[in-house]
Amino acid sequence: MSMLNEIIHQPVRMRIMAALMALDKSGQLEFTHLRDVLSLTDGNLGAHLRKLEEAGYVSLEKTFVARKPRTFIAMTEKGRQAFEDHVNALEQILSGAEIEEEGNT
Amino acid sequence: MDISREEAEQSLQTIREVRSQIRTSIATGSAPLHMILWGAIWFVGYLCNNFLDVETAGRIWTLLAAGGTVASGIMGYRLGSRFRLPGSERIWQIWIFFFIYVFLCIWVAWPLNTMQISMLIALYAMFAYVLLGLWLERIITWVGLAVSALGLIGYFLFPDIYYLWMAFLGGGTLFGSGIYILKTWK
Repeated sequence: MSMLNEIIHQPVRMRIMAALMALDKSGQLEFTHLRDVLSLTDGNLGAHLRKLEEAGYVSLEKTFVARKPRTFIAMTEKGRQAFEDHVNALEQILSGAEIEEEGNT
Repeated sequence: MDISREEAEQSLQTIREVRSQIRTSIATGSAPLHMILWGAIWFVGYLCNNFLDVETAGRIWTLLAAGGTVASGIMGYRLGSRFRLPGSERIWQIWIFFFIYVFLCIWVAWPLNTMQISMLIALYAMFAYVLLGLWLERIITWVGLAVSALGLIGYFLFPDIYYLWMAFLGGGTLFGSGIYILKTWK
């Protein structure tokens, strides 16, 4: 049975994970584009990305494109699995199944 | 962690919306801007065909096509930097091979008159739209089919006003569709 994930369930982080999940494996989103799509500020997005990075759910790659610094964000395999589990847990709640509580692991 | 059924439903809805937003932004990318650019180029180019002599119109078309290709490349590069998708570099290879094959087909079919060349190039370009749309987003396919149909109607039924027809209906449809996608999909 899947369990809800407290790190992912925070609304902004859930939207970040959903955005990254829309890409194929090994796809990356650029920081400013993600910020614009989710209507966030640089600081807000940065803070939530740090939290997700600490959990091992996303990886950040800083690089230069046309001499401008860019940050590309990708979902890790661990993040993909955690997000799928979280979505399964949400679907189980909808289908009336009991969901075990998961601590912030 | 305990959440209600309503909260779970709301969360799943949010996830669906964000995923759809991202997929649309990937699928459309710079497509509407390309449509606006090439719609404007078709409009000017076909008006030149209608009002100027063949040689002058040909020179203007060459300049417009070269400028449009460079502008398309720059737009694709700038907007493509939003994502890094596996295999996305193949889109460039597809376009390069596409142009080579268009050139070869016209070369084999030569000699052609100006109207035939213009109709063939328009059909090939719209064929690319149809294929890209099947791959990326269906509205691009519909635009390709609509412009192809309009072009063929003009070519076969209204040859006397063909260039004006293509300027307003071909170029106009491309330009208008680009504006529509930009406004509705943001």
